[in-house]
This record gives sequence, structure tokens and C-alpha cells, in this order.
Amino acid sequence: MSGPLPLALALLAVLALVALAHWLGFSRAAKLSGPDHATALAQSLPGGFSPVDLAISRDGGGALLRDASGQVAIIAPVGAHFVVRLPANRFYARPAGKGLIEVRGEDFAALLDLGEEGARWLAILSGASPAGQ
Amino acid sequence: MGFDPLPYAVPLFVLLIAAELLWAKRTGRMAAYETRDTAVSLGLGLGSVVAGALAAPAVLAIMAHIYSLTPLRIGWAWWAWPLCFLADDLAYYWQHRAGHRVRWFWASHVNHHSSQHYNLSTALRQTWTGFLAITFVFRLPLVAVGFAPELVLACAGLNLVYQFWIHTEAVGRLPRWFEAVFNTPSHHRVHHATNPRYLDRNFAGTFIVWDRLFGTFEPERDDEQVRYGIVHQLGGFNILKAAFHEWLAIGRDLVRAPWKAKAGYLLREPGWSHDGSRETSAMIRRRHGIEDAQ
Repeated sequence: MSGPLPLALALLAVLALVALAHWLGFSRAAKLSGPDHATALAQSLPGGFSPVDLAISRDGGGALLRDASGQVAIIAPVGAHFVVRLPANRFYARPAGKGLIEVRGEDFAALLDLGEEGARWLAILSGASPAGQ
Repeated sequence: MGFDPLPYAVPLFVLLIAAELLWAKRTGRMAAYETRDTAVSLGLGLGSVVAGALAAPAVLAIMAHIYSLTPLRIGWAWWAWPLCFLADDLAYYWQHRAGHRVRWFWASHVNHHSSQHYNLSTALRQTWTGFLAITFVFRLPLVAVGFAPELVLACAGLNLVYQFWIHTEAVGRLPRWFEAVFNTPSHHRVHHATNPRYLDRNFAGTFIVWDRLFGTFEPERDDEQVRYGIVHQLGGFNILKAAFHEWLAIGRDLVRAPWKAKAGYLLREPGWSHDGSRETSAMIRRRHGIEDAQ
């Protein structure tokens, strides 16, 4: 791989493979299958997480969960998968339309369509976020 | 520098990734790949080639110096090759185990694990900071006992080439004799998993016998779906963050930690914290009722 030509060829190969992946349709969004899926993801948090309340975005693209102590976990999409974050990872939440909540953190973002549940969760998030709403 | 097998293997890597993409599409396994994830993995692979080429003269010079100090000479006889490959694989096992159990080394290795996908492109998700982490020290004993530096580096390259094909879900389990001796896709899926049962298991490069010998082997179970990635999954597809995020996290911890705890954030296992606010692999395993064999 020494010299600029082999490196340039390798770069071309990388671009070709990425284009092939895109062309074959490997750019789909993550989708939660239901409450069990969201709960299983949240339980992977350090120390675990047992939700007593949860709301899943209507498109399956994320979720908000609250445990008995009032702590809120956010499930946000990353490509075809998800990440789970707690308010300790600073974030802010704001309304983004009817029933829509935009949640952003240091390394994640989610647009959650919670419908009629949106206002209630926005209030919960306002209390949970150290960064404020 | 001596024989480097990697350039010869790259065309095969490209063809096999393309074949795996087509296989995933054809069989409806649309979760097998993600375009941006693939771009990051292949970008890290390309960057690691550049980083490796930049570091190679220094690594070779250090090895040559050690070689000049030892009176031992194994030479280039045909049997030196399999002997060196075996010894190098043992050295790799300990390097890899340290790469998961010592945060300093983990900072360099974590990017190989930070994809939530497991496919052939993940194999190329290699480090840019191996030289910074001085992981080559694990190979120095081989030079000290008389293996030529060029031979050691060639064997290390062959080991890396072997490990490419085991990063796939396209291969289930292989014949028992093969699974007993060699690292396989099944064994390595366990290694890349975040399931508590699978954390910090199967560190082997080519021969899985080292894990069986040193108590770190865990077989893949049919009743437990593998979840890939790292305990704190990356939140995006920024290649620079993928390459350096753990080094930055170490830096933040070193600044914030009290003096007597600073060394722990460098040298203890990933997830260790002086105030117990985080979880190590062993703590996660215990929380799930899994005894740590180590």
C-alpha cells in the first residue's frame, strides 16, 4: 500500500463499496419494534434501567422512558440502530410542531412524534434536563 | 521493510465485501449493513494503512535495536515461519486482551468495536493510534528470542489477513475440529458482542486455543441474539470521533479526577471510575448474575 497510486486505488474502492451499499438500499432508518424493544435497549444502560412509563415515536424512530425515580432515558436513532442516553449526557428538548419533540444531546439527535403525549413528555424532559429546555 | 501481505489481500477484501453486500441484499438481511457505518469502517481502514505506514519505520527501528542486542538468531529456515506465526498469535492474544482490559490500550482498539454492525467492513475498522498506544511492545519478546523483525511483522500481517474473513454473519458454525482450534466467525461474533455474557471474551487472533487455555473462551449460544458494538454506543458517524473519542474521554477524566485516581483512568479497565459511578465489564457481568472466570 506504499505510494500514492495504491492509496488512491484503495480510496476509489472504498467509494465504490459505499456507493454499492447505498444503491442496494442499506441506508434505512432505525425502527423500534415496540415497548419490549425500547425497554431492552434501556436496560443496557450502566446500572440498568427499569421504565415505569414510556412513549415511542409513532414512526418507531426513538423513544422516551422514565423510571420509578423520575430519571428519563432517551432512545435516539443512529443509522439502522439506536443509542440510549441519560440526562447526565447533556441534552435539550424543544417542541418542533404538533406532537413533535426535538431532543438533541452532545452526540445524538432525535425527532420524536409523540402525538398527544408530546406535551406531557416535554414537561417531564424540562424537569429532567440539566441543560434546560 | 520485508514481506507485507496486506497489499496483496486488499483486492480480495474489496471483492468479498461486495459479495457480502449482495448476499445480504439477496437474503433480505437489510440490518447487516448501513451505508454510513460502512463508510466509517472503510475510512478507518484506509486511515490505519496511512498511520501504519508512517509508524512502520520507527517500529522497525525499535525492533532492529532489540534484535541487535540479543545473541539469539532463529533465522529464515522454513520452520521459522510457522513457529513465528504461532508465537506471534500468542503475543497477539495478550496484546488484544490488554486492549480490552487496560484503558490506555482500549483507547486505541475501541474503534474496531464501535460499529453496531458486524460484517466484513467491520474487519477493516482498524486503529489510527496503535503506535501512540505502543501496542507493538507485545511483539518485542519475539524479536528478543531471535525472530527477525521482518519475519515478526510479516507474521503479524498474515494474522491480520486471517482475521478479515471471521467478521461476518454469513458463516454459521464450521466443523467441530475447526471450531476447536481456529478463531471462527462464531467465536468472533461473541467477541464483538455487548451481551453481558459475551463481554471481554474470545481474544484470539487465529488460534482460539489461547482463550481455552487462559480461561477467556465463551461459545456462541443459539438462544441469545448477539448485540454488537460497545457498552456506550457511538451516537453518530463522525470518523474523527470514532478514531479518537476514547482518547478525548481519557483526557477529560484525567483533568477532572483527583490526583490519586488519575493513573486509574489510564491503566485500569474501561468503565472503571474512582467513585464507582461507571461500570466495568466485570460489574456488568455480575449485575446479570454471570460469574467472571478471569
